[in-house]
Amino acid sequence: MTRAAGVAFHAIDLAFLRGASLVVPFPLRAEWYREWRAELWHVRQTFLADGVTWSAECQVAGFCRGALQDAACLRHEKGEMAVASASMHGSARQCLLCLCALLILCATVARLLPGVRTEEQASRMVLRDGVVLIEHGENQAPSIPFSAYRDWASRRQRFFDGLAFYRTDRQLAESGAAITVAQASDSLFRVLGADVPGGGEPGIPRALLSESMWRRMFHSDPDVPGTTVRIGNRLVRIAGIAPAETMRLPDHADIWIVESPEQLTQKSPQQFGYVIALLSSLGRAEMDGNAISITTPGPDGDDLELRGVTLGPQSGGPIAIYLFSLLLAVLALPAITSVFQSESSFASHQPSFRTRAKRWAFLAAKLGLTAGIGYCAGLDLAYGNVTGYAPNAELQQFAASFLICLFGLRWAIMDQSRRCPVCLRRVTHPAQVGIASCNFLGWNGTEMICTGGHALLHVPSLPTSWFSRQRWMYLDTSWDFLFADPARHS
Amino acid sequence: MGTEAKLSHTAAMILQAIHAGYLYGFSIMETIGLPSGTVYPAMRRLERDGLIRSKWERQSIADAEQRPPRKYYELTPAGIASLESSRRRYPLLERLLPTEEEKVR
Repeated sequence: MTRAAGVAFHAIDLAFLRGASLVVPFPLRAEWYREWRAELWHVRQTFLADGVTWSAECQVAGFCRGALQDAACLRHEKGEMAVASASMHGSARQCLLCLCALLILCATVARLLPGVRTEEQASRMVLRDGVVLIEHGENQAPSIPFSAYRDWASRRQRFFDGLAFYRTDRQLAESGAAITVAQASDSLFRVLGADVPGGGEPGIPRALLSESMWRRMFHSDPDVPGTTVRIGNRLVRIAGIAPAETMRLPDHADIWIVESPEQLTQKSPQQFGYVIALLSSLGRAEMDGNAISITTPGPDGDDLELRGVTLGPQSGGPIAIYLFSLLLAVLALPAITSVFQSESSFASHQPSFRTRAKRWAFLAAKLGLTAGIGYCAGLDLAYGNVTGYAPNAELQQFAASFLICLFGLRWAIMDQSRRCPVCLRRVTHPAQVGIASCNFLGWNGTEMICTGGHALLHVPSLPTSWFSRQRWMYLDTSWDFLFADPARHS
Repeated sequence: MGTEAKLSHTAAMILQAIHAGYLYGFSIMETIGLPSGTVYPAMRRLERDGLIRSKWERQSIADAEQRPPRKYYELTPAGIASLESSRRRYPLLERLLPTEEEKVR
């Protein structure tokens, strides 16, 4: 075997020792590794004195295997480490650390989701005053034919300073993906009060991409404006990104193609679409709340009753949705758990004021962290697979936040009733005491003990008039010999 | 009394090896002929029980001999007492690993 092979075997031996050192308790690790590394040098000097051979390397490897046993022995014998680990197990600190880690994880994921960003942006965006959607009926559906819009737009209006029309349909992009395309009159963005880039070539309409489509299909490429793409069977030139105001409009198009009235007329004038209007000062004076009644002559000569509704935010954004779901969860909480866990003590002993304050602070911290997780996890679940503004996601966020808050708060309260009032560790080692059929005026239930040795918890199986609530029995110093944990004496 | 009762044959051999002048781990292991996975954990227990103690060799000495510094072990007074009682329990121990003085005799 060559010298290079010897170097490689040495490196493997050192790597094995380094791996074994991870088993050694941390305070002893550095010295342990130093000793074994020094010993390995002597072993190699002895076994490989006559050159690098396979059998010699096997002997060296056998020596290194002993390091693992030595490390395991040290780990096993480091009793105080085990006690320290046991004292951490089920402790208040461990509980809060886990909740903090979960909250940080959920918040980080929420920060990275594009759907969350778009939702927050949409909730902050406010349309200019006086912009209404004219609809025929109650629900936001395309209900006005283009011919009617053209008729209105050609007349002199007293109640409107501007009218715009758009309609949407599903078409295939160049990539083959189905997208929602809106064909809008060129007055739309003026009515919305948004600035969009103008210009263009004759015969090629300009188009504005929604931000989500720009991110999803064009990978946020800043050079996309100015390029020509095929949508369905026609070419359009991308002029830029659609303004945030378009998020408020029904149907949430992926691309807005700006058409002249002539181009819109060419395509089925009877096709229904949406009409957006900007109310004049006279029109605003006629507003009744957030709506205005509009009467216009219909195609058959009868009056047509329409309604103009403002396009304000339908919800206050993720925060408002969350606060509402949290409020409902708090109101529903008493239905699924006893909010104020009643308990008593066998003895007259009561924890000090400081201990009781610490217990309440721990409960408050748990409730706060759980509520925070409810907000962030609700965002993650609702907007995880949504890239743009999606009204359905708001409903999902409400449902997810409500359920997480409801059961999270229930867990926090139930968990509190199973924690030692002195050290806040969870009580363990449940033992069934008594049999209901054999007891008369006695009690039967479950007995649990604090591993710190502070108290016993008695929980009745069947609440009776003489034993209806769980009871704590505080342990005195005569129990000390049972508990190795130094925390008992602290 | 307690120490005498607990001392195993391996532990007694390690004490005897250290007493005989084999002062670092690998030399002890070679002398008593047991694998590293037995010798080193036994030495840890002996050190924990206060029968032996360890100290690192000075770096300058190791540098002069162009090798890494060794961790040397030596018997404590309790270790010497335990070794004496072990010799009575295992009479062949002295003959198995004689010290330099014992070799001369």
